[in-house]
Amino acid sequence: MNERNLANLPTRLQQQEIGETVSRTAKSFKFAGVVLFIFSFLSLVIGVFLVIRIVSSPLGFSRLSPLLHLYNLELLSLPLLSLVLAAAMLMVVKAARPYIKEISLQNLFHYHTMVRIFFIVWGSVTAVELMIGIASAAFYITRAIKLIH
Amino acid sequence: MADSSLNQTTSDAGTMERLRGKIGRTVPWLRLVGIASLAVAGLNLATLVFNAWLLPRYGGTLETGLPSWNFTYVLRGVLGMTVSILWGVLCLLAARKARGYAQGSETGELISYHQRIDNIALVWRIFGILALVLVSLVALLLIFLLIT
Repeated sequence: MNERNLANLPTRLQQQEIGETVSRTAKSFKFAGVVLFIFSFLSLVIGVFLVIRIVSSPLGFSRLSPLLHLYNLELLSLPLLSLVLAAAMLMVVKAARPYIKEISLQNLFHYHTMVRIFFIVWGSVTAVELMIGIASAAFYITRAIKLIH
Repeated sequence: MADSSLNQTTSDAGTMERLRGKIGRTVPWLRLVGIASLAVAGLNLATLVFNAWLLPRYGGTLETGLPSWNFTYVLRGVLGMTVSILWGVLCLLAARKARGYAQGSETGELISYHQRIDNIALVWRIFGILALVLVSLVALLLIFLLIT
């Protein structure tokens, strides 16, 4: 074991300070997780309804414009991904509980495992959102050029 | 007794070493969230400008023909941009702290990293409250429209 690690061990007071912060974080994530879960579910239900409405239009599925296909994809994928994100958020809350109850480095390590998973899920959701956004923007720019000319 | 204490310290030092590694591996994801959130905010702004200013100016309409006040549109357009900027900045700040701790800084850096995560969670809470308020307003508007 190298000396740097022994010197940099957090004191009991520092661990308690971290515990208080983790407790506040857990409360915020609990509220946001529940709200996000409910809204994602509602958005998914509405999204399915809208997609059915668009797809069953007189045009038919194969004649829909690429922008409408993209819109359908967005209506279904984003609420689904948000549901996963809400679940990850609630998992962070669950992982924070042992550390809040009993302050130990082992519990802190487990908490950070869930924090890492949360950021991986969030990063993936945001990246998908960004890709759909870029694809939509390409269509919007094409439409804008056509409108101006 | 002394042996037990030494074993505990050695075990704690091992856990902290693993924790540093874990936090270090979180940094790229924090950066991804930060940069992607800022980019999403920019795209949201561009979409809002296009739909609200450019389309009506040149006589165009929304291709979907759907009302612009549906859940996803309102949540993404009104809240999305502001909150995305906040998340972007906070995640990049958290990534900085996390990298500092992973590279061997003192415990103070770990405390700061936790505070940044707490700030991110606080923005999530505000996002939740705003979403609740906004959806309540939309629901009230719908009830009002149905009655009249």
